Amino acid sequence: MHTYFAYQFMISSELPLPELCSIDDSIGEGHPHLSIVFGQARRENVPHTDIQSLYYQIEPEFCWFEVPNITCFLIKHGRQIIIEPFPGVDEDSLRLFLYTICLPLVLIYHDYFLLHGGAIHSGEEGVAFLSHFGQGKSTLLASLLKQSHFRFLSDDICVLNQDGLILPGFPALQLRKDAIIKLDIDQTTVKLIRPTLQKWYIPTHQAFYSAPSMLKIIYIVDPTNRADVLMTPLVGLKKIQYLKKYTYHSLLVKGLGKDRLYFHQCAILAARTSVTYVERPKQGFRWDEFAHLIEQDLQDKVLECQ
Amino acid sequence: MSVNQGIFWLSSYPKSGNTWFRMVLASVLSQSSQPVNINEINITRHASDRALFVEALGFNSYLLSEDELLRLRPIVYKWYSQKKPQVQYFKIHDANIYIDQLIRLIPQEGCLGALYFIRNPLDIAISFAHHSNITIDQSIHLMCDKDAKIFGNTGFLGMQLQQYLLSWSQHVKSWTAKSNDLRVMCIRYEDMHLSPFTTFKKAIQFLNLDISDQVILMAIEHARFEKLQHQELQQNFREKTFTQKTFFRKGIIGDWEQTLKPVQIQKIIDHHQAEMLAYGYIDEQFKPIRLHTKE
Repeated sequence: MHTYFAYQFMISSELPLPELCSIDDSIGEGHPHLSIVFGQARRENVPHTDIQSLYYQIEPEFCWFEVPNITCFLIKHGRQIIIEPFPGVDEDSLRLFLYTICLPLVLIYHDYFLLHGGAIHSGEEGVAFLSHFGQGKSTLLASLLKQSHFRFLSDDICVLNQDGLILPGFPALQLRKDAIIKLDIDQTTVKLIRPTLQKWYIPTHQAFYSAPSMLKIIYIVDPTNRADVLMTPLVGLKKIQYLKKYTYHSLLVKGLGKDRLYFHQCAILAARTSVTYVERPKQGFRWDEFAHLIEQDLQDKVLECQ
Repeated sequence: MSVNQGIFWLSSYPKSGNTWFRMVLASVLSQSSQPVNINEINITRHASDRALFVEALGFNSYLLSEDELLRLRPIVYKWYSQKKPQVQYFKIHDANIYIDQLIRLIPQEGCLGALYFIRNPLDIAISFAHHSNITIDQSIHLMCDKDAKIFGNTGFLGMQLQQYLLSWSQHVKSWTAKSNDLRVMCIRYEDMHLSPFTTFKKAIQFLNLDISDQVILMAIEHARFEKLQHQELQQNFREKTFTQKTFFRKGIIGDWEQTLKPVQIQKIIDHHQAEMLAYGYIDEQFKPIRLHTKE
């Protein structure tokens, strides 16, 4: 067994998880919040539920997923993840789906609030950048980290506890090759996230901020047909609507019976954060210039928060 | 499976009248006296829409490679055909390719039939160039490329999976060849223009819809090209790519006569001779045929 720490969870795992922060086995022994083991992960072990489809079946205490031809996962009581890989499957693929399906499920089960986006720590505040898959949020984070003094909290999933604190994830960003080249990132340090996907983990150990950070500022970044960048502060109900739209994987939230809790969390978050909707051009712009615009706006907002 | 459950495929090479037909079908099914909004053609789903796969998988399709997704597609389509006790309409631009030289993209099981929209490749070359913001020569090159693909996991990710077009003539063959094993009706874009009532009625009957002539005529009127253009002027059409100025551009037949150079016409004919001859776009001397008379 290996022992790790992510999102303030102590995790013991039979599968090595080198992307996470590892801790001395003797510290975690006997008291993990979550254990990950290999075993039989069968759909028939999950009670009947309405939240099911071709490749998943979710009810609060038992969740089953199949990643076709790669692995099946069974998640029990938010405490144990059983992995049953297909023969010959590489460990990187298992890890990627563990990070993107199983860990979020466990966190939602334990009433954490997940937004689809990355997060940084700036001054005294936590800042989240929300957007859907493949729309450049990791590239924006990497651009910001490259230019300035910001500290990195998480990529892709922004996990909040009940007090509105962003929990640090693990020190890696996921980037495509074009972004790695554009940002002039040392390619000797990167690692493919899966053998069949053209996307790489970029280590961010040096910039990693390992303490929780109060979320105060949110940017929702949307590629549009505009030729320039437009930032619009959101107010009132719109804030709630947008936060709801960018909650991580609403299907999991629904399957675990957390819809009402999530709506409530969106309302609380809307009341205590500044939310800005950022429209950026889909093409023909420079990430460093875009990051600079965000940085300038962020400086003003941080001052307002103080 | 009953005739009331399964998928009707609305298939075509891009820019061949698929969207126009979907507008007419949406209007026919709504039976409303008002035109259907171009952004509310909700009666059809796009076979490459990533949302379809999220629904089946429970996680985002970006985590799978294009090859992995391609192998999943027949399974997912079969699942959709069995999922709802009703007829569903799926739009598709892929050729009906063999996957791993073994199984067809479109499973026979759960398929109620396929309407295949075909258009003169001489006109497609122009329309596709505008649609994709490329030159006409590039468009012709793509239409001759036996490995042509559009969309997919390149650069920033779009909402559609990779689509396997092949060349224009391979696309036609993949859907219309007898080996296809599907029930297919071929509809010419030019006939939709020249004999709209006869052509749309034939297509609607193929879909097992019992619709009065009056409703079909009204639907054709609502989906007149000028009306679709007018709607697009007033609101952004969400199926428009960001490189396009407008989706509904000219909507005419025979544009090639004014626009294409002789060498471009010859290249298209040389590559797609057999299919152009079979569908009446060239004569037996391999000369392009002009089609201009309206019903």
